[in-house]
Amino acid sequence: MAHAIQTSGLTKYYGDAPGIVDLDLEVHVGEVFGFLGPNGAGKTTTIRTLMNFLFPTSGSGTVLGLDIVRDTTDIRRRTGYLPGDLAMYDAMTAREYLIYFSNLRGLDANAEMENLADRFDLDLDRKIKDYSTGNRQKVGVVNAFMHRPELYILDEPTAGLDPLMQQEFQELVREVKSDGATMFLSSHILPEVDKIADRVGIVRESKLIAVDTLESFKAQAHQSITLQFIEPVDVSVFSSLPGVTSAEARNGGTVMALTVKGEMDAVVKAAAARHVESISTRADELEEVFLSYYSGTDDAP
Amino acid sequence: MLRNVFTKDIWDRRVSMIWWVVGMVLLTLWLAVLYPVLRDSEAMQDFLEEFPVELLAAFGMDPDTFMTGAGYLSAQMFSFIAPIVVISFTIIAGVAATAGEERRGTMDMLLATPVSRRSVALQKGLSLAVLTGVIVASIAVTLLVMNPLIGLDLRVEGLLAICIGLWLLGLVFGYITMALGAFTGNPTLTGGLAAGIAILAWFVNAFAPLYDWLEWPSKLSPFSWYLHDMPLLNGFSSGHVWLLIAGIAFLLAALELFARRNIATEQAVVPEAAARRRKTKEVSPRSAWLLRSVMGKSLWDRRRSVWIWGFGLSTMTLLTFAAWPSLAADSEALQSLVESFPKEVLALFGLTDTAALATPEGFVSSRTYGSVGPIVVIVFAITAMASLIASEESTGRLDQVLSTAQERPNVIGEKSNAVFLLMGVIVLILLGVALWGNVQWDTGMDPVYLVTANIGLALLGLCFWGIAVGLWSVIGASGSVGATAAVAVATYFLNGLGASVDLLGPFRILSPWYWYLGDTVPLAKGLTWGYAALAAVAVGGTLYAMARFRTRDLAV
Repeated sequence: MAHAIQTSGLTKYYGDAPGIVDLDLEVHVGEVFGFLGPNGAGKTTTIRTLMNFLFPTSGSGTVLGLDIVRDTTDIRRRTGYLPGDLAMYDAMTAREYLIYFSNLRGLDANAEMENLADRFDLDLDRKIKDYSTGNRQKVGVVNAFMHRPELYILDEPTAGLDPLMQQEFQELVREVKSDGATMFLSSHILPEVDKIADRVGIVRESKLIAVDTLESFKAQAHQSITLQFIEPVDVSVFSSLPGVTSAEARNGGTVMALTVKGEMDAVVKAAAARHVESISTRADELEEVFLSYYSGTDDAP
Repeated sequence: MLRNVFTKDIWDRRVSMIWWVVGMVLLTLWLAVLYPVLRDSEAMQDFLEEFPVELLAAFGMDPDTFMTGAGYLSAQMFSFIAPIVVISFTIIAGVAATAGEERRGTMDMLLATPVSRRSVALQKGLSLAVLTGVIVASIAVTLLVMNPLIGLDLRVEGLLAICIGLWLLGLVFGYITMALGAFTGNPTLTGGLAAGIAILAWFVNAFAPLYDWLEWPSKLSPFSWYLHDMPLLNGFSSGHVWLLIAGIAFLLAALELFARRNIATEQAVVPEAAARRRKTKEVSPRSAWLLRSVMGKSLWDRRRSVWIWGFGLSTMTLLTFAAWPSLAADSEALQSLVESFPKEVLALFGLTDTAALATPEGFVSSRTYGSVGPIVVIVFAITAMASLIASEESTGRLDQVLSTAQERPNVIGEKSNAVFLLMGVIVLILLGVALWGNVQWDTGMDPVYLVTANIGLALLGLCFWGIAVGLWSVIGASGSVGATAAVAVATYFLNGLGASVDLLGPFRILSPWYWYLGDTVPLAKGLTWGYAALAAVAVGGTLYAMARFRTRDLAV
């Protein structure tokens, strides 16, 4: 089993409205795969089709080597799931709720349940309807993790968690990953994706438009560099260099503000020929890379 | 109890089951203790010997057996009241089982476990069977205990046969509901369709003795299988087999439909229609007009369902009108039926104007304006309060409404206005249909009294709106719905008991049912002081809630 998740041409229409179209996706065993895209792009449709809550209009997919429609029960046995729109049995306490779900899996996950509740500072003995949004989300996280599955399918897992709990979640992800588990998660929190994802897929308007490692996406990031020279320099020296997307001379030409995409080598070498007083650089956020994909501007390759 | 879906479902209903069982036991006791009064009535005996058999059948009575405990219970308990309660339960539970859970969003989590779809549906079907069994068993046990005490003379085998039949009948409708829910995913639509099917099936069977053309369709009604060959008297019959087959068939249909469903996508059932809806890029002018205020939005929410309430009630009324000519043909016999019925028994059901019962006014009053009509308008008022106010508060939607610049009392006032208007629409539909029926079947009622009776009916419903919203403002979202329903039932019995038990007589005046029914049937009187009392409670309750809500904590 090379892939934890593999789909080919997976398509789901709601009537005439596309949910996800022609999705070819491969998620390797043992990786953390971030599934990104603007609202309504098809992330949740994809996840709910993988879980067989929805039946594909066409195409097919396997999860853990099993067919998503035919073998859904076996898939679900080995998968931890957290929905984006978390609805729970409000009249139950969190403990009752979690015990029920571990029973449905035929497992005794009591110890792990207590352990996770402890880590996330969750009081298990209150009615779910009395929890705040964040605490409800914690119950959902515990439910997805307590049986320590091989694969995690999580739809915006940290939505509503405070920064401390988000950190705890990221720690938990690193743990289960080191145990060999695979994780497929959608998220809108890019710093989080930056911290935990190995590879990232981006969907927009029901189509998968890019899949790559996080490093490759980062390489696409623009860098800003500001050079200060003793003597004024002509702007054309830098503006024509490979990778420079904008160049601006300030302070009579002694300060050169550049934006560079990709390698910085040419800029550094051109600067080295002059008397440099100071250099400051700033890498643009990964966010900007993704935003260009989200909005579909020409910037995206 | 949280081992699996089956036990969890039972666990979920552990509290509400107590109320179903207590209610059922009280209802059974109520009807059982009336039996000796009837049995000892000589006038009744004489009358039964003379009355046309077909007409008695329309009342669910068999002249040969009516005076026996078995015949009496078959007619009074098992052909109407017990099926209503049991089927109400199975439809409510059937809606919750598939469509309800899906709408709440919890179905996703449930199906994320390694339990197959068919297994989930099957376990829910089985828990429905067990819970329905408990309710039916409460009837059986009560009657078994009462049997020797009041000389009902029931055979255990017959009691077993009718109760198992009742259980299967409930399950047939419960599984139809589950199948509809698995197909549509929409709880409101599912509940409405299932209730419609059940009412239709009941009418087809109940009216078959009066109309030849209903004979063949009535054989398809589960009610005809259930009542086939008087099970309470004659024990098991082929009817039980049909019920069993139908129950299993609908359960299997529910399983298969559920296994194929796209969960939490109602539109997936009718994709074209959904796509058409989605293409509408503008709010329709009518919606835009209604969505300008809280009151408009409340009307907008019910822009479709109000017609179902109105025409549903009207259809039942129309059937009553239609039955009148065949009864009028034997008006003397009908008169003697009414006279021979013990007054105390009739009074218990609020029928104190016995002289009028053999007239069109009395007949239509007792069948719709005095029974089904009040139930419909009161249920409408209570469910309107539940969805417009109580559930808006408990789901936090009221927070959103109040985060705008709306004044708190205004929000309640506007919602109340909407309900007043909607209630008006419902009774106007009923009035229109009744005026037409009055001419069509030549019932010869005074149109003015038809108008006033409809005003009274609307006021009765609104009176319970006032009570519901008043209780909500005091005790909050949870509990206010149940409390109002309890008030409705308790005051109904207070009115009935007050008319037959001297001790309770003076307290009758406290019951809104008395204000509405009084001692003259609604169709034979104009506007009364009772109606003014109903209006006072409707308005007073609303005003009280508006004032109280101003200083009340929200959603605690």
